[in-house]
Amino acid sequence: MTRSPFQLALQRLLRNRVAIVGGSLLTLIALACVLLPVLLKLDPNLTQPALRNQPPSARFLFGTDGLGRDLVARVLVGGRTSLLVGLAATAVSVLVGVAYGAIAGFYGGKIDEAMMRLVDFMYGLPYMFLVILIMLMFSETARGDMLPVFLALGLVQWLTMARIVRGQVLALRRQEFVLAAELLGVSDARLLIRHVLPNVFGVIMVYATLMVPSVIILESFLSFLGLGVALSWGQLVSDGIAVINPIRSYWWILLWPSLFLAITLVSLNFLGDGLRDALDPKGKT
Amino acid sequence: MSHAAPLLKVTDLRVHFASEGNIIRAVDGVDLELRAGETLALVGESGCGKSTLARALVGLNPITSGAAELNGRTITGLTRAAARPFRRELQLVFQDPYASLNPRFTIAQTLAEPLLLHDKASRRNVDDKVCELLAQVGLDPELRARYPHEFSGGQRQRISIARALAVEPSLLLCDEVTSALDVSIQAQILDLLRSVQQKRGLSYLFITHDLGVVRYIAHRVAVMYVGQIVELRDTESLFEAPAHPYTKALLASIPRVSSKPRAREPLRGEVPSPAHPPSGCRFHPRCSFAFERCPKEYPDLYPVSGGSSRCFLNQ
Amino acid sequence: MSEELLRIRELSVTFATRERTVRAVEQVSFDVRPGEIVGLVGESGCGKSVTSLSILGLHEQPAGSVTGSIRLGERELVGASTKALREVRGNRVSMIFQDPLTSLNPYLRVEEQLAEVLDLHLALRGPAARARMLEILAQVGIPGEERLRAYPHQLSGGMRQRICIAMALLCNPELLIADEPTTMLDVTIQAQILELLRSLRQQRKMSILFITHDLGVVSEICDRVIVMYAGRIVEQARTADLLLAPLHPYTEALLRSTPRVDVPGGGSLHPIAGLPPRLSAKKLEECAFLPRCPRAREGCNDGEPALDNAGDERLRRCIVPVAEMGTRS
Repeated sequence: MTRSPFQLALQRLLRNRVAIVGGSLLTLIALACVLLPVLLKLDPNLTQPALRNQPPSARFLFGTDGLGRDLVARVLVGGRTSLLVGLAATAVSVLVGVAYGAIAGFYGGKIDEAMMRLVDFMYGLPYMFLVILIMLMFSETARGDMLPVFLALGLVQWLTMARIVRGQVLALRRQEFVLAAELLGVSDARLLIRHVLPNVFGVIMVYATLMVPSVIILESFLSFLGLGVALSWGQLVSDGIAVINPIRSYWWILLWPSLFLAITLVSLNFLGDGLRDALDPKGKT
Repeated sequence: MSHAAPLLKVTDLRVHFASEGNIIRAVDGVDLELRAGETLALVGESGCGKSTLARALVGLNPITSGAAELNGRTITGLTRAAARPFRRELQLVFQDPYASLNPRFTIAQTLAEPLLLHDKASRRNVDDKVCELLAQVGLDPELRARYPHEFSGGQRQRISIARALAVEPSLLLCDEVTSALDVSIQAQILDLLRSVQQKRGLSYLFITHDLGVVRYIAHRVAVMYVGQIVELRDTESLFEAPAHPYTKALLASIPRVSSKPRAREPLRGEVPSPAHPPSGCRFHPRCSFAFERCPKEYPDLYPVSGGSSRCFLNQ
Repeated sequence: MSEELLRIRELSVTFATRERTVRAVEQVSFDVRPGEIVGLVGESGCGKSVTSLSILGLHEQPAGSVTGSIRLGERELVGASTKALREVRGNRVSMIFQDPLTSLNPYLRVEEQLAEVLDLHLALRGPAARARMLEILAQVGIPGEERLRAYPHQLSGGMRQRICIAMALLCNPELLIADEPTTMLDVTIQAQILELLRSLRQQRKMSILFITHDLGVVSEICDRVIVMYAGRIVEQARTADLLLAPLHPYTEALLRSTPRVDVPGGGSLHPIAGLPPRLSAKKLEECAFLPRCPRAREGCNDGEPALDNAGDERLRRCIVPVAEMGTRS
């Protein structure tokens, strides 16, 4: 039975227990965040002042926060945001980065130099500063929204992807099967899209998977600064830290979002590592 | 061999690269001609420029000066767009069977691409044509849905050859195509190339370092040394009576299956780097026949029986 | 007949991959005597490299199993501890490989790499070590001090291989294992290296196990030859005997598929049809070469032939009568 390189990679991935664990946890968390609030009719914003700061109980599995809001609802709905931000921002950076890096790597020479100088320049800028600036540029009302955050984070992350893709494309461009296709008269566009990029795809997937956690963390950091999305794990962690005091710890307000965040990040890393091993068993990247 | 106009004519071709302050004279003034249906072997050791020459002919390396013509039309110094019409007539097969096929294409896709691109087949009959091609190179057409990693080195070379033949070229450049293969598989590929040549009247520019292969497959031989041709002759003339001292040393160095112990001493010294070629005759530092003229003057190619040789002793 | 230096008996090396178990080397037995150059010949996948790597325990880990015996003088090497093997490596038995560029550490100068060996095995440092280095380099044809300070990438292929040989010789090994040492070198440089190895054997009475696929090289340098196919020995003989009158169809076919430099037209080439077999761990029910053998007949599929004596220093694994070999098949 003939198996394409993609199918072989998938097989290898499925044999990697750690990656499977990571993938499964991730799926569970994602499903929980998307479905449970709907199925259980949870409202993250319902304030119940009489029930504030309740530790975990049968009724409120994760307890309540300072405004009496159900933490299960907040963590799950907040999870939607964090995951979405992670995926969307990564998607933006992948699209921009791949396009940019592929063109630079494919043409090489002066075009590559010019394009990469720009990347170097942008790398040199203090990016958190930039992100904050971008966030501040949006009006007050838009500030809790997701779009500005997507853009801000995505536009900073693309640089890494561009560099990676450029390196891969540069190397592949000189591979003999690409030269052979070129010698057959295949057009540049087809060379890039049909011959080069499919062979870079694996590396892109790996780095994309590993980029998601860093985006989620960045978003959390923005939340600490008060610039993040209104309801996300980062925001919840920030809230949790704010109420810690020596008298009453309110540990549950900090614990649950942190736990979810940590498990998601670790799972993504496991998955990313697994992908890397599956796509490149000889360790060439 | 008829005396019709040559298929390929290379005139004073030079390919120089700049590197770390040096000029590497990879190809430094090569003239040659190749006729239809002929196999010309390009032989030499590292740094002699044979691969660079082949790649320059197909436009993978830029040319510094000189020209090459295919059927009277210039093929060097062209833009990518201008070179496109020649893609049909001139093809190159690479050495490394493991790098020359796209790992994500099935064999059918690899072979269909040139067929469709150059209108050798339509979408309706391309599959039939792919089967034909595979049969021509001795592979089972049933294998066309497979991926390169499922094939051995020898089989992959057959596929690469099939791909090159798909556009029906008149000239095939074979760049060390059997060097990475086992001896028994090499023999299969050489036979395949010979039979394809007989059936289609193809010409080959066959680059190799293996003189045994040369004697088997080539009609004529060009021996290269540090970017230049030092001897250009009919195959049998070269092997029976090599004219240039380098050719003599090369032939003497080849280990051969024989009951007699080696009589001659191996050639001394290192192969010079094309960045610093010796003065005058480039072979003089290692030549056991060198005399006062050799480091000072540069020898031309002088006629000898069956070809020419770049040595003052042949003048 | 002198005592053997290296005695290999029934060596089998198995690798377990996820899909299947591969028997890379199957019951291989042979000797190497002091001062002898023995060739191990075959094409890719025949097991010659794995055999040579097993001698020093350098085969891929985790491997499958290595069974059998490899005796160096008194010492048993199969199953020996890493510590014991390290004492032997570079010291009594040295090895040089095919690609001199990857055999040398690109980040260290030549003198540093030589110094490491001298320190480890002979506890030589400082001026004494330097003297020995210069001595060795002169012996391999690199006179003078300048090369000591060089990095590998600054040297030519032939030069690098000489340095690898020098490194291998530092401790006066009794056996040098050379795995395709000239395959990547130019023909004229190859001739130089072969001459060097021959003269070293002469001067030091050192044995060489020379692995190659090139029968011409075998003819030039080996006293005896062992031909391997599909992990087993199929023929063994003195070089002249083997090349003049091969007694196994594979050896014969190999000779006939090699283009000849000294025959008009390159001789007639007879390719061997088909591909080398995929090795498995299953016991063979027939001769490994049967699918490709031009002399196949009744009885070839009746179990694998045994390795039989066929005369003075000759072994063959074939049922075709000796008298028939040498005639047209």
